[in-house]
Amino acid sequence: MGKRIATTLDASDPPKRRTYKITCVSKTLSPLSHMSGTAGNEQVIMREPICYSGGLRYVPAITGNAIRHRAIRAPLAQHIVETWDLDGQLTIAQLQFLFHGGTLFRKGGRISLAEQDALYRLMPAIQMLGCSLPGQIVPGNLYVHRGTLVCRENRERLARLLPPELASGLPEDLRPATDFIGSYQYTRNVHDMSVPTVQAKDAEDQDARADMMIFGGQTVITGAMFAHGFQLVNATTIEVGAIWYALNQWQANGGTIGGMASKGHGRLETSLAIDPPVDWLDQAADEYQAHILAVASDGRAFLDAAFAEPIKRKGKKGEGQDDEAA
Amino acid sequence: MTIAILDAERFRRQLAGLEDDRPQGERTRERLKELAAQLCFLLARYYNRDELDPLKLWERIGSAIATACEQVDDGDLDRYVSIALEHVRASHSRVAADEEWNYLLAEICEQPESDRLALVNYLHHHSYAVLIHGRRYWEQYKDGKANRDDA
Repeated sequence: MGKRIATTLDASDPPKRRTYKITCVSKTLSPLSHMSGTAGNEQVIMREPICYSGGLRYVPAITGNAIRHRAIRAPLAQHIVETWDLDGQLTIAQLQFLFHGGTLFRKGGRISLAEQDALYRLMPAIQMLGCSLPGQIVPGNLYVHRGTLVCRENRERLARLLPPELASGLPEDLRPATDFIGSYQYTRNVHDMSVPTVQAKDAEDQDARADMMIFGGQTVITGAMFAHGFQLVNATTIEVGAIWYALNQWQANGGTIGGMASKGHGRLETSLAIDPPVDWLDQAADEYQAHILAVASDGRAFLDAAFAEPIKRKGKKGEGQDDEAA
Repeated sequence: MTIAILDAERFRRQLAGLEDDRPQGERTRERLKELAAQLCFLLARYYNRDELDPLKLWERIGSAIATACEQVDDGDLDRYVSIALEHVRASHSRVAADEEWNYLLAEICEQPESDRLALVNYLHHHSYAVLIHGRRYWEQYKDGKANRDDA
């Protein structure tokens, strides 16, 4: 390990906190199917209205919600599960908490600031992403930017969103968003439409009608580029390490966003710049992993305590009063 | 770790291919062709086959385009689209519920006046070509739909 960096483990030496801006650009290595719904039988990609000097356009985008889950929360939750040996040991509520941020089940004010501090110390991922414990919403300090398609309609915005040294490289004439929208059509094959290498036992009982299904939709084509990023507010170096670790895990495992990943869609290749520039990202990631390992037993105990009471879903208006009266 | 650190040089390399280096005139012409073809395709999609003869689909769409061109000379594309849709007796509810119409209308009606006039002019002077391009879109859509209906 290289130079020593301050972490939240150093109780006697409070970690220095500062705000980091991380700018990412991601190129699509395969068609991207980040959907917003369907029109008839076709899936429609997520678009957002853009008002620019040429008027109003609907331009493909990637939601910050999708990015924070796939690129940050899921890899960090997976790491905690593996390091704390939690596979098969967690309740659904605990899994929801780790992988999806949890749900508020009870009336608020259940944990003290000291407990919140302990939670942040045990799980820097929660300090960044925030969460909902059964009785309290806990805020996070990570702001995730939406994925902005690098196209003509977004050029004016990109010139302001990107750091000046990158923005200066933007060509004056980018391709319009419509150039980056493609489509796909797939077929779900069925046994009775395939070459019959294996005969079905009940083949004689089946009618001749084929159940082969054709399905299709829109995509953002391969080779398109999205600019996105993160702002880590008042963060310690260990949180930067967590982000760096999460992003690398996400990329190493395919770097997918959106749907149809099982069919090869949504692969992104990401590169990033961090402001202020630092040269200790790998060390910070190592420290983050070491930290999670060091707090394993405390972390398991925290999860058990926080989710000790059985989850009772909030009833509809009026139902609670009846319960109390009873 | 696998993620590359981004700098100005790397960013510039990654932008290769995203630049639109077509001449302005060619770019505009392609865009007009695309919008006109999409308009024809959507007219075919909402052609009222209960009230009109299905065999006269393209003849009727051709006259819808021509009628709208004659009545709209000020680039009012909202009106243009309404006249064309009325001509093919499109169902109001189906048109209102269609997201593709929303995108297309937002796209063409928000253009500056010069571009809107250019689109009407293009439709007026390329009436056969836009039908051919629109029909190609329609055939692709119909093939996909027929396969789905069979399934």
